[in-house]
Amino acid sequence: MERDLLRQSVSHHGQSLLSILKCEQSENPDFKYVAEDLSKALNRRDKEEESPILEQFIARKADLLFAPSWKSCKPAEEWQEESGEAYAVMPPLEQFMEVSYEERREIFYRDVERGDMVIGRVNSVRDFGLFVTLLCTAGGLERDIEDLEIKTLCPIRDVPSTGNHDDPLSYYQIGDLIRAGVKDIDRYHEKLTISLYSSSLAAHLEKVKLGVINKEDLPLHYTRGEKVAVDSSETYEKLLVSSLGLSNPLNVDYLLGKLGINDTQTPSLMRGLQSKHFKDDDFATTIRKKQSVSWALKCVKSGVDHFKSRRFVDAMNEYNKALEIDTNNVEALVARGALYATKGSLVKAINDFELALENCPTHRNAKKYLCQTLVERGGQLEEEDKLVTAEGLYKRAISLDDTFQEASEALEKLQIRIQKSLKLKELEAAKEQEKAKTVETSAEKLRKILKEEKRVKKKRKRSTSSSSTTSSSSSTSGEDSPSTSHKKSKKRKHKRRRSSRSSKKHKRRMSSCSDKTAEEECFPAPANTSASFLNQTSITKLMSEGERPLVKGHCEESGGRFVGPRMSENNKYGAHCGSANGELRERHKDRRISGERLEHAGNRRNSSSSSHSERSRRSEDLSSRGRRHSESVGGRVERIDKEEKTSQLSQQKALPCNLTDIFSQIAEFEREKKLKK
Amino acid sequence: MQASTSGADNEARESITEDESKKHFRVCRFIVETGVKLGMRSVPMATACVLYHKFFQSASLQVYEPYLVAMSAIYLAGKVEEQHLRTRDIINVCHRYFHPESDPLELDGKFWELRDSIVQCELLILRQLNFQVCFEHPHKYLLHYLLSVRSLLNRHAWSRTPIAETALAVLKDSYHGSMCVRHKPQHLAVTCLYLSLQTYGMQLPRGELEWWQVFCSDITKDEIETIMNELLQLYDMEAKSNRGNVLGAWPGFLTSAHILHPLNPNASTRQFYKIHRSTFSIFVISRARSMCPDGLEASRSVVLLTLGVKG
Repeated sequence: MERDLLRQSVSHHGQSLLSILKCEQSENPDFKYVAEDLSKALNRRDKEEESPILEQFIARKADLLFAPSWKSCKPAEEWQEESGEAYAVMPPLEQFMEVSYEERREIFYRDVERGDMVIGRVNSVRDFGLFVTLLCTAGGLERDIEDLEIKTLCPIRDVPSTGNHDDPLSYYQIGDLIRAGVKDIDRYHEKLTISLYSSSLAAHLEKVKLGVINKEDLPLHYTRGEKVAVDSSETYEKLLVSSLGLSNPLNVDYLLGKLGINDTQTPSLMRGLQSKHFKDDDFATTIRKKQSVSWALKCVKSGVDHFKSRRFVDAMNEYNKALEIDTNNVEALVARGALYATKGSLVKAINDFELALENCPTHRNAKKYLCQTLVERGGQLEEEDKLVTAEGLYKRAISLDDTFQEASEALEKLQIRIQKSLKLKELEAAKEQEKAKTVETSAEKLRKILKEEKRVKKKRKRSTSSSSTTSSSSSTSGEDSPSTSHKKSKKRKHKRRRSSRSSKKHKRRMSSCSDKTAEEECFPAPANTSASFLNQTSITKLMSEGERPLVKGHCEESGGRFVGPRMSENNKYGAHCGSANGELRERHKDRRISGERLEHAGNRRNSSSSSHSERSRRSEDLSSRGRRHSESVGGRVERIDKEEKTSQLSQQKALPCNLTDIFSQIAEFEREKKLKK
Repeated sequence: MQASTSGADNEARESITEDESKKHFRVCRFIVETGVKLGMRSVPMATACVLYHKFFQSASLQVYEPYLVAMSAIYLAGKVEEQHLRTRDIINVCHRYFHPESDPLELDGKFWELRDSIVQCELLILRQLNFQVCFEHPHKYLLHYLLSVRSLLNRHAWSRTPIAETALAVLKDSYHGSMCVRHKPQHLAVTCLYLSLQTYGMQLPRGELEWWQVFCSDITKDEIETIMNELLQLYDMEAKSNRGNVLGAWPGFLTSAHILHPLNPNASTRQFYKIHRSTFSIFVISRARSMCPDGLEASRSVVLLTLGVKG
């Protein structure tokens, strides 16, 4: 029992209350502790308002009225300006009551506290601060203080600077409306100090902006109070009734929330209505749940009857009805799951069983049926070759029910099968790796060759000096239509970049045809001839060109690293093919291809053996097309063109003397091929 | 049923009135309890009580089963105050009120009969009240008054004194009696607040006007006192009523009349509940049969009763 409350009450009512209290609350253990203090607290009080009935009421209900739990605590919320729509914001009661000046002043100074918010008008601006006469309070405390003419001081240190290094006080003028926080109170001398810093405000008011405000920002209780002061016929009642907030149907809920009282559990002083007498089972929601379960069970029973007589549609209807009445009803879910399983929709059945087990993990039937369905579904998946999923299902079945033999047997079988398939895969992978290895070995050889050639070239570069003209002349002298090829090569370069795919295909074909036609011839040639005249870039470009089709067609497994010598081999193949056929129609494509090869230099690996075999296959397929041949020829030419363009001047200087050799050799090869064909 | 001599007549009438008011008290207690179990807010619960009281201002307890009227009043109040309650929930809670610890009703004929009777009775209430079912309650006034008074008090005094809780509790309990229909809502609100302030000995500053004069200009101190006395008598009635729950934990606090817990297997209560059980489960049918001996369906007979009353 709250001692202070009791004391206050007793002192108000006097001895009579105390005696009744003692009588009525004699059995109350809490009261005994407080009783001794109370007799000391009695005041001599005028007895005009003695009310025995009231005292009897207080005495009887004292255990409730003065219980500590009777008062509901509400945590302080962040303060928001009331718009007057949720409920009727009324002017301060003092104003209506016409409380006297002294009384108002007294209670104001009694009740104002540090951290409160006040609004006032600037009276004078001195060099040590601002003098502000208060107009009204804000932020919770609502008092009528305008005519009290309370003068407050806002010292200069509490005036924030406006940021432009002037005297902060110059920002304020006489007559400005200021909102400030109370910093210090001297209740004895009735002096107030205010501050314009937000830190001076209480926690729940922190967000409010302090400083100069407009008339619109004045609190509603003040503005309404002004109206009342002017118009004497405005009474509290009239104002309340005319206010919009009173007609808000939700104002009761809002205000109860403001006061911190829960609306569905409002307090009562009737003995029978105390909350401890209400049992949870008697509440509507609890009863409804129980009822839903029992109604749903009825439906499930009738559904099971239908199921047994093989009326599946009716059974499903009953189950769905049951689940509508009570979602997640375990029996209904299990029964529906069984129905799905019988009909063959195993996935839906599994879902239902899982859901049922979630709600009731110990349901025997659910477990049993679920195991069976899982095994069945696993079998289905096995046939569809989804072995891993099936394995997962079997494992789940076993985890649910260790003794389920079928599941463990099926799992074993499945595991054997998985292992077999894994082995097969391993073998395949091994084969592929071998192929890759063989590829690598030949690639390594080519690399070595190229390195040697590079060294040779470097020496030659230093020794020779050439001009671009010579290189160009050599290029022109090289082939049938070198000028056209020269120009075309430029275009090709652009086109190449765009049409990489088509060129890749071409390259494939090229490579295949080259493979077919010039296999034996090509091998010895690279080491001696083609590599020697080509510089680094050209070699890599050529290699990239040649490798592209190879990579595309056959070498995806082996990865994407480029082997230099390989490229040159391919180029030669291409060249041979071209010479063999002697068609120059589609150099464009060749050039394209060759350009791309040049671009992608250094990024591919070849599997020579496989590529050879595949190329031959492909060339057989595509033998009718002359493209490849011409492509190869054109490619050669373009390569040379590109060499010229891409290579630096120094390199170009190094080329010419070599190029003439090259071109002569190319011409020879082509002639040979043509002859052969 | 009436006594023969005039003196005895008066007494009888008084006793009838007292019996009636006891009955009304019990039924209103039933309404409030059911409202709590249904999660009703305070305003819809107030509407339900007002509907009940207004109905029996012009109707007789002998003709209409009060508990049925109460259930229908709850249902109707939910609709009026936009807190819709399902008849299924109302039936469940009420059934359990009269048959404690029983299983919920099955979806059978009895359930549908009860539901039908509630709906029919709702129509009956509407007709009896001329379809005027929108009432102004003291709650919003009381809450606004509380806010105004709060601003006048020291914040610490306010935070430690449960003035709001007591005032609202007294207001809620006032619905056990018919004062809600006999007084203006503002008067009731002022009285509750007055009672609350007096209980704790809180004194408001004095001005030209008293605070309650400001809130309600047409009320006098005496009126407040009168209403307050009525309110406090309700608490006495609870003590006398034998349909109350156990009062606190201290046997010494019990007044002369026995106040028993519904689950207390005491002979007198058992008797009392037997009567209730029977009336509840077949109240409509019994009433119907008593009025219409030719044995019509229960729901139809309720409609006939309506016509009988009005006609």
